[in-house]
Amino acid sequence: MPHAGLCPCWGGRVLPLLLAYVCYLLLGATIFQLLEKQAEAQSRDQFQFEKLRFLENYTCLDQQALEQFVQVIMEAWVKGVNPKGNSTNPSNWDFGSSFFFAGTVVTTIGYGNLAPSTEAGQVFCVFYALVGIPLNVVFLNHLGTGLRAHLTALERWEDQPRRSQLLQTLGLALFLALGTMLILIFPPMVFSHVEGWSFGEGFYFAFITLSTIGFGDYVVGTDPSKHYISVYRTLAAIWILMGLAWLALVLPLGPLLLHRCSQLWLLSRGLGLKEGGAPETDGLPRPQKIPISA
Amino acid sequence: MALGSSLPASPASCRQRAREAPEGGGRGCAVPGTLLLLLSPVAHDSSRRFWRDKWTLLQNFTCLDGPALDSLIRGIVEAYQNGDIVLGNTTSMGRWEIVGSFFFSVSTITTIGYGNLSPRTMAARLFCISFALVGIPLNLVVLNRLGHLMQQGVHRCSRRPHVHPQDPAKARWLAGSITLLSGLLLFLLLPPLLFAHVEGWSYLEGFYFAFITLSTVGFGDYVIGMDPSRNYPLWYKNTVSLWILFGMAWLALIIKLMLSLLEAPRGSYSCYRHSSKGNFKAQSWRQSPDGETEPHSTQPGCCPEGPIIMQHPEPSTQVSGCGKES
Repeated sequence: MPHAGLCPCWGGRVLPLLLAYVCYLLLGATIFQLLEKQAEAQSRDQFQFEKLRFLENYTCLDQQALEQFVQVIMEAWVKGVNPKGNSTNPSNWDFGSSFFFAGTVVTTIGYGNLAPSTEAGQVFCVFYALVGIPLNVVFLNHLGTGLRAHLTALERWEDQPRRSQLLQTLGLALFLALGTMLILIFPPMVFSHVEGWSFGEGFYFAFITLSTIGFGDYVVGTDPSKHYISVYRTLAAIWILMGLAWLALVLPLGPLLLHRCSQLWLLSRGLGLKEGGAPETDGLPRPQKIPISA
Repeated sequence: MALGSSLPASPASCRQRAREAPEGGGRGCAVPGTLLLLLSPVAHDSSRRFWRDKWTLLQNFTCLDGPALDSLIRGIVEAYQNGDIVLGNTTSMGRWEIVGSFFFSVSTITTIGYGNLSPRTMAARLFCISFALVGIPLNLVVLNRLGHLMQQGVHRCSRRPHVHPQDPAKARWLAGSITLLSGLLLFLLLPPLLFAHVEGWSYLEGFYFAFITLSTVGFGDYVIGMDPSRNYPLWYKNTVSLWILFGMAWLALIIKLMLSLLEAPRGSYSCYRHSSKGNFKAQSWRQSPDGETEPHSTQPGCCPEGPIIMQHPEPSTQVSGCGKES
């Protein structure tokens, strides 16, 4: 309230930012186009070729019937019916899958390999998400802050001798590295082994999932020709939650670590520069004051 | 022609059976508690329809055998997954033209991730990862700024002279509810009308699409501009992307509000109360002008912040703060 005069300055800040944003998007669009267009044309040609060959082999089929059939299959696929295999495929909405779906909603991953198609389902999904998304954020935060509070109980960090400062920083870094290994590197390897993906694909899947983008081009446990153990999807859901909580923990910690390292470095150079000069007035725990942008 | 014309004639009895069966199944399904299972009869229904079509095709074209058909289906599904919309002519949104590519980048860095397009080559995937790593924070910052702007506009309106200044709490409540309602109208209730008009969806489908988009869930079962048989007006896609940008800022604000409602009664975060009581406001205003501080910095680690999942423009904390103080 007291700074009504700031508004023009805000407007001045927002415009360049928006400009940069749009430029970034355009840049991305151009590069994606460069990278993908040729591959797309290739696979499109190949599909057309295969279709023609199929028509040649089965002469009783005509072009139009085939096109219509293609449309039918696509609609079935979009609706979540797996057209491969036979009609005894397990339902898409058995309990495990339904649970997985609920998970993808509240985490806002939204793979989209399953999506409600009835009106009732869609309306319910909206309200479910409206409550579920904040709930999920709260839950992840509890996990994250609980762990972080434990970790950064290095309250009077500045007062301790340099050696133990160094040790603690090293320990923190080691912990972060190990945890990242365990949660972000190891599971994608398991997934790529079970699903038959390459490691690159597994890593891509993990990134797209944990960043909650969720394209849905790779989803675990959807190949009908594979036999998964029954808890596979549940385990995957747990991994997702763990990974998200881990990110919630680590992302704020990273800058802290960076800050401490830089301080150590400065100290060792003999520049006893008091960096966080004029520490904030309220008595809040110090380490968490450091803004992300450190 | 063959498939389409034969459908209504021959499998009438089959269809009747198909219509009866899901009802029986539905009654069985309704027993377990998960409301999500409510969706399963329809999945059954469309699955049944698909099998019926498949069998009709096999009957009508006798030279086809089962395995051949299956291999055809596999080919089609793979092509579909590859992002080729396999029906000859598609709109520019569904291809790696500049429009579709732009749309893809938007859906990536907002973490909507419709998935109607996704990179297939390894190089593009790697680029996608690094692009998202930079883009998602950038998007958060932009949303933050927009949220601030929106909030400030509302505040300025509520401080007009004819609104009684002697009751600041009331004025703030008013501002909060105005943000809520006008946003609801502008971003969630009116756009479905546009979608219903341009895309031919029902109002409810449009609403569902709007919500799934703005909450960044992004299933991709409904995506705008994907129907090749329609021609879209030129301003349509631009308007929609603007709507996504502003609407996300607004919905993030709402979700943040829900978050504070969920958090408040527990009272386990003593520092949250402390900060909202004490110098919280002053601090947030002091810090906000310098550009690069993230919203995290205003609430020093006490009040839970979303991880990377939710965009949380800061102003919503002020909305919740207002509610507390009054």
